[in-house]
Amino acid sequence: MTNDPTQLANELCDYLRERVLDRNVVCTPSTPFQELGVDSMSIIELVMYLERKHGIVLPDDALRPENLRSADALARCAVAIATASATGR
Amino acid sequence: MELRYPLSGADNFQVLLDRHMRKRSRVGNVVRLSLELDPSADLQALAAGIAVNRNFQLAVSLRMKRATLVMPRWESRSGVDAVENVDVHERCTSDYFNVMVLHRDLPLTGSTVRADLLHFANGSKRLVISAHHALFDQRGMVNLANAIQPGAPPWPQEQLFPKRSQEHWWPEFRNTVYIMFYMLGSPFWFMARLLRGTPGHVSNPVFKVVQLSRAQREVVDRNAWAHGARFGNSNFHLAITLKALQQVFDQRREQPPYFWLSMPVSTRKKGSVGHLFSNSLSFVFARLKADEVSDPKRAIATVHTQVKKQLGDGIPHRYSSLLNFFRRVPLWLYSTLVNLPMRGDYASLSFSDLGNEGEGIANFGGVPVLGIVDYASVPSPPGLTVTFKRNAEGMQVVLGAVYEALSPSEFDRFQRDLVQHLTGNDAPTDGTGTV
Repeated sequence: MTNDPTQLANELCDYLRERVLDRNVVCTPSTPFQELGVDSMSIIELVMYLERKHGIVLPDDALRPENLRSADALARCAVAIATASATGR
Repeated sequence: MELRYPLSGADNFQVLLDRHMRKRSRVGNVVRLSLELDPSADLQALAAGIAVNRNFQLAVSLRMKRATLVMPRWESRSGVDAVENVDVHERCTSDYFNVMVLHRDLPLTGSTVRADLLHFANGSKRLVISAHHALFDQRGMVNLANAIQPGAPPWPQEQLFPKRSQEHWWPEFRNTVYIMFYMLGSPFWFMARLLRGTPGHVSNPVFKVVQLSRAQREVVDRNAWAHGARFGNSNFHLAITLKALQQVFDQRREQPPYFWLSMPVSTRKKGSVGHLFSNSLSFVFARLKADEVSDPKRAIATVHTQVKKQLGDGIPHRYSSLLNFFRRVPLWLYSTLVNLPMRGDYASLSFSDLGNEGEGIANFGGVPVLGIVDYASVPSPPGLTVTFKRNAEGMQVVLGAVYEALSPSEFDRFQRDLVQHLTGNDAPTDGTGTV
């Protein structure tokens, strides 16, 4: 599990580049998913990737549009949840 | 230059659907994009510009070629006159639009694309692009609308078709077997069916366009969240559509135990315009019990769980493999295998949610585009097609049905119930009407 949101956001971008995006598309952690053309199915895949690779399960309440806006927002949310879970809060 | 390209598995599936439709209706698997043009548009000039457009000329020259033991392919032919596939209709009436334009057939043996420019008596003007679904998916239709604009440059040669599947035949075959068992294990025999009875020809579909305002869309968004929809609103739209459909069955005093439908998944790489011709689609599936459908919150949770499980199991990829594999078998055998578990009924309804897709056409040939309507095809069975789209005005829902599946009064009621459940109140919609 990572506790660095920047690293995790970059990892999510790598996942998108490899599996979802056209090779000419520039993806940065702050680029809005909507701008990238990333659809809901791809976002579900990202959330599943977080579960599979990092064991971070995002609760229903965390799946708010503001947390699913970009790789950066999703990574910050995931790290916050993982940290809270690790510290028992 | 002659062009040859194999059909994708998704193209071939649309050909199968076309065959299925032609068995019982007068029109095949044709989709339409209707662009409301600014009244200042010079339709004759636009028609002339479309006819000499290189992309349009290439599109109308493409035909499907199918022969025993040969992979079906698209082939361009010389000597096709593009002018014959563009028409200007003056003093057009809504009847003419409904009867002639929305039901115009495009057989795969002829040109699979045409453009109709319509001048209505009230001064409004429309461009309707009709195309065979076997050659164009939703993104392809948007690309086509941009590509055939007068003066548009030729579409890059390397982006005319998608990249060919490089999958070896063995994993493709393995995935095919996996999906066949997966489908055979589904409870199709008990699924909700609107259109039943002895085979016979159905009437032409009737379309209704429901336009919700931005304020209403915000209500829908809030309702979706309140009902537990996450990752966008598609699951809420689906759950509400099924609930409205269930009410039709309730009225008929029927209680089908299951609702079953497929949801298209675009396999195009995201973030770029992409290819012009050929489908890049796969599917995920939703199977809902009657008691889940009657409670949208439960329906959303079930669909979400099923979709997540299917993505985890790689169903969209495996299904693409199945579609690719079935290009190798004759269409009649493909049809028999599909009908084996489904008894010829493909789903409880055809459903798609286009999101923001299609909102990339601000003008056509320099003429402002005031609105866009997607008319999906209406395979019968099931006889009902529902398409959601977010647009600048708010949200659009296009309903298409044959009266053998939904009677006129049932269709009206279905529309009313759908809007009521979406918006959570009885507020009338603006711009609702049958077109």
